[in-house]
Amino acid sequence: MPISRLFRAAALATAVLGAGPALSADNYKIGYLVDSSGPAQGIFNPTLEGFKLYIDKVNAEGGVHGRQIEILSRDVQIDPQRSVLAAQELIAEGAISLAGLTLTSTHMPVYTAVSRQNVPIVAGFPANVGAILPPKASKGFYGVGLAFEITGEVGGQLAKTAVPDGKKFLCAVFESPGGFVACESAMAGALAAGFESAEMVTFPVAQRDFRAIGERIAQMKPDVVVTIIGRGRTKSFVPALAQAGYEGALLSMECGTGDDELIEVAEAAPKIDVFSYSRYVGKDQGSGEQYDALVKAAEAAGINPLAFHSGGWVLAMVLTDALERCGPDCTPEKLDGALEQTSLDTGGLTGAPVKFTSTDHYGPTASILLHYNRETKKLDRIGDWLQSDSTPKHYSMKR
Amino acid sequence: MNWQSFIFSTLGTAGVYATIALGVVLVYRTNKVLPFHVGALAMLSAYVMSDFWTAQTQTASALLMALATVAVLCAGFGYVMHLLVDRFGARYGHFVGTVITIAATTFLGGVMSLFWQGDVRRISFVEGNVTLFGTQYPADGLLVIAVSAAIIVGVLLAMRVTSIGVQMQAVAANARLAQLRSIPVRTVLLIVWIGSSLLAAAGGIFMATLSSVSLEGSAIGVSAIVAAVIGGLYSMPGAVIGAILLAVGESVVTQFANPRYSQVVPILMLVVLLAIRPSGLSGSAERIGRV
Repeated sequence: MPISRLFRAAALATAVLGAGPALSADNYKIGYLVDSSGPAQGIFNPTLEGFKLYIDKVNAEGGVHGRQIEILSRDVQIDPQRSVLAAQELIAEGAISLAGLTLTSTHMPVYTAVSRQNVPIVAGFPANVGAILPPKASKGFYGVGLAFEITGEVGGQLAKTAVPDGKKFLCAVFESPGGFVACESAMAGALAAGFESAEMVTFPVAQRDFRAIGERIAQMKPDVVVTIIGRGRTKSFVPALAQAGYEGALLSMECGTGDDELIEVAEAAPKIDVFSYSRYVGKDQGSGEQYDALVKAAEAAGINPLAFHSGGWVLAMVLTDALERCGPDCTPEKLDGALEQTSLDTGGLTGAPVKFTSTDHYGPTASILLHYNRETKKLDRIGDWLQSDSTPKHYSMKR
Repeated sequence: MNWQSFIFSTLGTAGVYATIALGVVLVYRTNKVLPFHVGALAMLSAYVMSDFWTAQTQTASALLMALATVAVLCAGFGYVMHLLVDRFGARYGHFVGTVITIAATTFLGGVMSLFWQGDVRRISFVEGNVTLFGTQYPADGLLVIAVSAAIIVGVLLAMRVTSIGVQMQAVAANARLAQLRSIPVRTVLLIVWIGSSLLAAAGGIFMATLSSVSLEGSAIGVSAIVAAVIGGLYSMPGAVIGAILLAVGESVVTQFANPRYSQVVPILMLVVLLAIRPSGLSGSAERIGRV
């Protein structure tokens, strides 16, 4: 086992245990819920890494209004009850805001439990629930990850760009509230984009052996398979699909898969045309002030910056920006007010600025389509950013 | 429906379950302890194997080093389990022994989480496909089926024709009587724990070759235990049949119903079996009477 991984694990464990910058009553405290030891740690840990990189940079530059930002992290895995208890504990410890969160199944329990305490929640990359979307965004609840109602539709649309002659669309997803919404909206988007049929295959969150599922999908002979399965599962899903004889296209929603993993499985599946689409850029996919700063900070920390890290970095940017506008005597209520007026250029990490209003706590987003190039062994950008507003089009019509 | 692929996939899964289930039967017969930790140990072994046997280090010496490391690790773990179960199980009863294996599961899960952080990996021994009767099969999958079959046959034969196998059966039948006949019971029990750990490791490496190694992959231990229970817990051939039935059930549900229900199959099979034949396919009911 590489020693560097052990050091990184120890560093992250230290962060999760709450030993961040020098502790002081004057610090801004941000509670962060993460899965650091459970089945989705591969998805949520890197986002915390990106978040921490930005906060470290801000603290090194003097903090906000002369005060340091302190991250109070809690490992809640993907357990709603642990998430609720940790959120209440963090608020009791003086957290001015909650950030991060894990699977969508934990979001509404946390929001419901703490909404009366007026502490704003900003859910991070990758999963956000529809309660942040207009016209009735829940008070105090924001998201800078993927609202699957929107990102799913985009997937259906981009599947047609990837496979213009495609007729049969299939969505594969693990079972979570967000996963179902993502696939249903992707199917609605695909049908609207011109696919003749759209089907869905679901499997339990803990599924790791995909051989029989691969066989089933290969028999259905779709032209494109959109996967919303996150990090880890892709490594066994795509080879299983290839072994079953599938030779169509695969479009991975970047909801915590990671370009590194996608490239690895693309090599193991030479007859599958691999695509990905993402709200956030990874290394070699962006340009701009914040992109450069993230790459520099990540490389200094020995991290290969992926979309996760961009997502965590932007989450920290949004909270820091709101704290700056909130003023030196910021309270959770005032911070909520500042978050509602967010309009932030992400400096090359996304294709659209982060914008919140009183009725829209998600804002416009943009997605970029990437195609695996077998010669260069890299994901190449195809076309420009595809812009979307925060209102589902086809999915809401279907509902 | 591609029947060849279906059978191939099912045989691979059955091979994994059966290999681990043999270890479960060994431990249960001799210690009366249900080893819940076998799934976690299987995944831990596969993680260790994947550290030594990577795409960059595929040489004969690397393979030997990887297998030797896994074997030493499993032998050490088996030794510790033997000590714990022997000390606490003998004092507080078999139930405590089973609780120790549950605690070991938690411990192994923590170790995997700390060192491999939920990483998902694959182990590959042979690249490419092999054509048999006009159908292409992944060479890795064929290797797993062949090696698991060899292990299963080897263990079944060893139980009948080797002196240690006969001694294990004697200890399983009546440990006190075996001791009176000069059979080194503690040594036999130690070998059982080490053997069971090695079988779990083999199953984990097979699963990592067929699919992947991950934290959640520890669930194969539950499937192996269910396979052993289906077989009656005392019978090794019964455990193999249980493994085949379980693998067929899971594959059929995934192919013809919905993949989401495949994880219900072990529980469903257990419930049905307990309803119609509580002692398992090859088991006999224990007679309990007042003295």
